[in-house]
Amino acid sequence: MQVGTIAVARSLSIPERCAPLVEVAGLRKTYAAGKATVAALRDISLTIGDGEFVAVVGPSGCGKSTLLRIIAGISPASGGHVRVGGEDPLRGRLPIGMVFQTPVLLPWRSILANVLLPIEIAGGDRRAALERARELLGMVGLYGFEEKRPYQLSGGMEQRAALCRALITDPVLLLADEPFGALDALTRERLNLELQTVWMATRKTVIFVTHSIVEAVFLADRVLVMRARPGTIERDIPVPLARPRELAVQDTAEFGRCTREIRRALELASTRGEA
Amino acid sequence: MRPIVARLAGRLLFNVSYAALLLIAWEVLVRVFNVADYLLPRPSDVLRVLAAQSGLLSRHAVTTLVEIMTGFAIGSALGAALAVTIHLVEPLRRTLLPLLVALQSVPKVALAPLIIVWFGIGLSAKIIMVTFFCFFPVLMNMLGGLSRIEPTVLDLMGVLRARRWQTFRKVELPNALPALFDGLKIALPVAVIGAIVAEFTSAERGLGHLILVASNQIQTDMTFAALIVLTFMALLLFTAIALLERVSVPWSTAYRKGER
Repeated sequence: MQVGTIAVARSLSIPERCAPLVEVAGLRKTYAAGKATVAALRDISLTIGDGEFVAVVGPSGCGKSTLLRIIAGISPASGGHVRVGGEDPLRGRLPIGMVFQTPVLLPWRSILANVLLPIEIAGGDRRAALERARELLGMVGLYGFEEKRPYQLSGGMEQRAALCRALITDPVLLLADEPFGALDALTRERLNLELQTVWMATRKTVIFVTHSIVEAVFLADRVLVMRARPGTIERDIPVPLARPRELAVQDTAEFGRCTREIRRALELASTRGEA
Repeated sequence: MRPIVARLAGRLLFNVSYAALLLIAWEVLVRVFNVADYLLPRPSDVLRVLAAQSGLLSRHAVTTLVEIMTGFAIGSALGAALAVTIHLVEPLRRTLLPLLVALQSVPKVALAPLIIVWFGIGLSAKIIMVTFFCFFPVLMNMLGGLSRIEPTVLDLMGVLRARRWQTFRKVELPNALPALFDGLKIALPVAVIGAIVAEFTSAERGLGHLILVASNQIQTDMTFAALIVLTFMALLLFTAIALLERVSVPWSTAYRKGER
């Protein structure tokens, strides 16, 4: 029975290891705006299994980034329960990797030194990490760029380096906040393919916030659709496409069905959000 | 390599010819309009003084140079250290910083006589004066550089669970270096003013003293000669800082135009 389940799961690319890694229950986040309080997130509950790739889409201002920042432990929740690997992320010790909308590389460091920054901060073994850094850089096609400065690289290359930096600590969770949003369409497609390759090699749990429905469906096992004001999760839509996915998967009927479903949910979410 | 050398040589040739042209124009105008020596000396007279009195000029120049460099070093170090302290110890921003701003608002030139009274007419009074003149631009620029950080970088440090000290060492401090150099570049001319004001007030040596004495004796050509030496010295020091900046912060956005 176990064997059968796993085989099916693999073919549908639903993660094999389903122990929950991220647990969010009844999460609230409010901001003080003058004398009024604005609810940025209300009653968010979600569970993400270990090894799962989850995309989050939603209209601007729906609190996608806020949710990500709370899970990352860089912003406190106003209420509710958040656990990453059983830890409160604000006080946790498990390494979490994050990729931002901009590469956020330190301009005075070489690419290699930027990738090694998390190791320095964690007080890890720099020598051992060096090898891993080169390996990661090679995996995203930055072999030979180790000693370059960030400003000598293109935007796509910088974001690749940022991905390596996020993965250098072998994090339990990779958070991505619209990492490819500022890139041109072709670079973005290429990076989506590379990210899939990296993900299949490392099987990190990923939460990937994006504005692009196509990107979400292409990358994720599950797509969470959010609604704005206050931010809540509207729908949880599985993407049962086999991996590795090639760009041509975007022309298949199944892909189209997923994007249509998400688009419909988004339209519903935005009309009701504004009402 | 060749084109760079050629370009530098070209620029040097242009600058030298340009300066020569201006000097010739000055010389001609003074002669044509028959301007009195004590009002505006001829460049040829000034050059003659520069050559004939080079020993005297350089003795005074060394005194002033020592005052400027020592005071500038102490003032800059003090300004940078104060900036770091205020940045790291938040309550100081509301207690110490207003005091420093108030202190800075006192017309510094007016303090020169007081400093002479307190510290005498020797070297130390001049150095203190220069220090006082130049610490503030360094302090304010450095303070700005330390806190002017892209919020996402701090988010990154948060995700990495960096300690306060690590964020300071690895992000805030290097991030402040371009601003520090901005501060140094503002502080240097100010330091020169400080030294000259102190020497005007009371001194036995230095280019400021020389200028004062020469002017009193209506040796306008000597005044000009001293002014030229002083300007040249200040320019040299400024160039040294600019070079140091280029070496220390090659990643600064100021140099990155067209490098991509």
